[in-house]
Amino acid sequence: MSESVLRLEHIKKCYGDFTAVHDLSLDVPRGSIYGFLGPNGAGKSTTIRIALSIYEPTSGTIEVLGHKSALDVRERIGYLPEEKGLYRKMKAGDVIAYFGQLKGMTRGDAKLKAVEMLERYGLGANIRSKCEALSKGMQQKVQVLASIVHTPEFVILDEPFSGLDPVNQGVLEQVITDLAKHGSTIVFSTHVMEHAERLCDRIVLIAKGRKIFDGTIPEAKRTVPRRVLLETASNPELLARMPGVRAVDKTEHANRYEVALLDNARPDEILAACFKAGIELQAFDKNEPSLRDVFIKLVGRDEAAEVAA
Amino acid sequence: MKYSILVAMREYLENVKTKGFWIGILLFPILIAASFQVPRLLEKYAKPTRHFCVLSPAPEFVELIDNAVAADYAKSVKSAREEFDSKQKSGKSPGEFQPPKPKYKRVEPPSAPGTNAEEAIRNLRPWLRGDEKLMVEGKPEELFALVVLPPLELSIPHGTQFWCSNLADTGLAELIERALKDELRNREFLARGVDRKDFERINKIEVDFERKDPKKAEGEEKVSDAEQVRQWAPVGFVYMLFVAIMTVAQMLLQSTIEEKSNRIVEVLLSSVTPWELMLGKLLGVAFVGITMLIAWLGSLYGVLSFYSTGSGKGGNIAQILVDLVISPGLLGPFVAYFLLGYLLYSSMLLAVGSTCNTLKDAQNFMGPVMTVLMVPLFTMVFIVQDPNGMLARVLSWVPLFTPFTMMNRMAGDPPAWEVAGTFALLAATVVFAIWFSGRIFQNGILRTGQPPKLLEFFKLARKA
Repeated sequence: MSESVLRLEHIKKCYGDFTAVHDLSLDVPRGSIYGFLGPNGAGKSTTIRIALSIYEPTSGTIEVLGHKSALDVRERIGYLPEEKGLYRKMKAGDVIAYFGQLKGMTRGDAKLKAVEMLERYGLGANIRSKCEALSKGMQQKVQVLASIVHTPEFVILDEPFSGLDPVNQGVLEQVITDLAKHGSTIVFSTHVMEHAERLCDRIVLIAKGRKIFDGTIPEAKRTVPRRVLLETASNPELLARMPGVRAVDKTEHANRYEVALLDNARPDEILAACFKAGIELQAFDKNEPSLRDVFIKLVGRDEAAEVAA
Repeated sequence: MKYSILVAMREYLENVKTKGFWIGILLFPILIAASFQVPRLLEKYAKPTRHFCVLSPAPEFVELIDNAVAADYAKSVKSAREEFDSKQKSGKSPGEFQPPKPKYKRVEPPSAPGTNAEEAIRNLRPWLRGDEKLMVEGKPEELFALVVLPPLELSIPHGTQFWCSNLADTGLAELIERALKDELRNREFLARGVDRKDFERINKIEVDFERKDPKKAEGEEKVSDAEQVRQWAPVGFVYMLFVAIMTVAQMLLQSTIEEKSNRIVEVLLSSVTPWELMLGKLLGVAFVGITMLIAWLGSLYGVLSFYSTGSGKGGNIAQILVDLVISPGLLGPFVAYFLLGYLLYSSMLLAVGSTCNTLKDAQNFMGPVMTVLMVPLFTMVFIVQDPNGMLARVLSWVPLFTPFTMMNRMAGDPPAWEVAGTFALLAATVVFAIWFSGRIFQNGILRTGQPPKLLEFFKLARKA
């Protein structure tokens, strides 16, 4: 087991009568890309702020890079908050360099690195532009770069993808994988399951301040029964008698059925059985459950709907 | 501390780099220079020659008015000549001497004279109202005023009428009134057998009024012009102190709210503690303030030095002011009181700013602070007149007013123990204010949503 970069133990955070985080424990292993998933108001940002020692937890302990407070190791951490802003009148290059200096870089190094990063991620022409002159997406990229200019060991990005167009989301994914290649540990929260699915080694699912899942993505997917989807005008219910099949259910769409499988079942045998039984198929989909399906199962459809938005 | 200095440097550079900052600073000496120059230039170029008519049954009074207008014009030509000569001597702007435009010019009534004064006035009304124009040397001109002298014996000084729709420009009316008054008095003296020369000599008698200060060494008690100006100089410094503190404290409030409303503060707080952030901001903006003061005093010194080379009383006063601006007796306390006053007010505003998300929210809290800040402005003149009086001494012991009031009293030699005592109290209050505001800042800076109610505001300090 590799050492952990962030360890939260039984964290609880109350605001008056309201408890934002209930007894949350976490372990982020070094070198991993860790996803924080959960609906709005689940307590993701609060948890992140506690991890960064911006908030004190009501109870519980934290350990960041082996220290009791993130402030002791602040130069080794990079943070992008959920609500993002920049000094409007400052130049993009200067903002990045300033945050680099606040993280202990020398002025010269910070400036060089700022220029180099802006060029690498497609903002080379905007080094001397004032932030207020940049588009929203560009500003957000500048903010991301400002949070990682000092090549931190541990990076926390709160909703880094929100508000970016698909092209810039791609650039941001590149930034994250570059960081990971460099050996940084990354925690990011997101609403977009596809990003988590593509990038994360591990995810934690939080809803209403409680952790409801913590593990790798394959583990997450195993929480949802395996299934194939059929579309047919015939009645496929006889498949339910096959070994490996748990149930055949009608879905809300006409002529579509969900065949729930046991872990050892093979989808190609189902397909063969369909042919044998003369079931005329319009569609056969053996796709694995997506993270979205996992989410819906674990969080509940109503809350998941918020996330899908 | 390293991080506070980084925050301070950014704060300083970002403020000092803006064009607005330097425009604001340059406007100050420009305003001072303008206050010297603009009235003169306006008099010279903007004000038209005023044309007027005189209706008088006695032609000698018309002549009297003509003479008075001519004498007034001769005086302005003379002073223009002097100015021109002194400029030429110092090598500035040679060229031809241009006599100034006459201020007043009497013209004959353009309308029918009528059989009596009432009719003449009625006939002239369209011109006086501006409906009709005079033709003077082929150009249309406005009739500015009509003077109607009574037919009666002028030893009874009633019945002179001055018709003019411009109620603000009283120069001509005063000139004519003075000329008539002098003439009447003159005649009265002559009638009583006083010689005209005697009369003129008597009229010129002035009382030589020498002011002495009993606190000064024997033989040197005479109060000079410089000392009188010096007595009033603190008013200027108090005003500058007020403007400087207001300006920079607002700057600080604005930058705090920018960081808060942009949520930059959250990134900052992952790098620096709230304390480091607050101290850095206080420090950075303090240097902005000092830069501003240096620029102001420097440009004030420059403008005044320029004028002090001029001749006459104006030059003298400018020279006295130049000496005052750079006198350590006023400059030292000024800088010290600026720093302490700034720290006191801005730490209060920082606490306010940290709890508000928009400038609008903050302005509700600013109201009371501004009201408090007005007190030194209202009391400024009284305190100079009575620098060691009750009002001055009481206000000196209120830390919020100490910087202004003590600066105000500086020329009145306040007792040393009062200077030291109020200074110590002020310094202690500043330390407390920074500590107390720091606690509010710490809790307020990450607050979102509505600004706190007044009571909640103070509770924020407790929760730290």
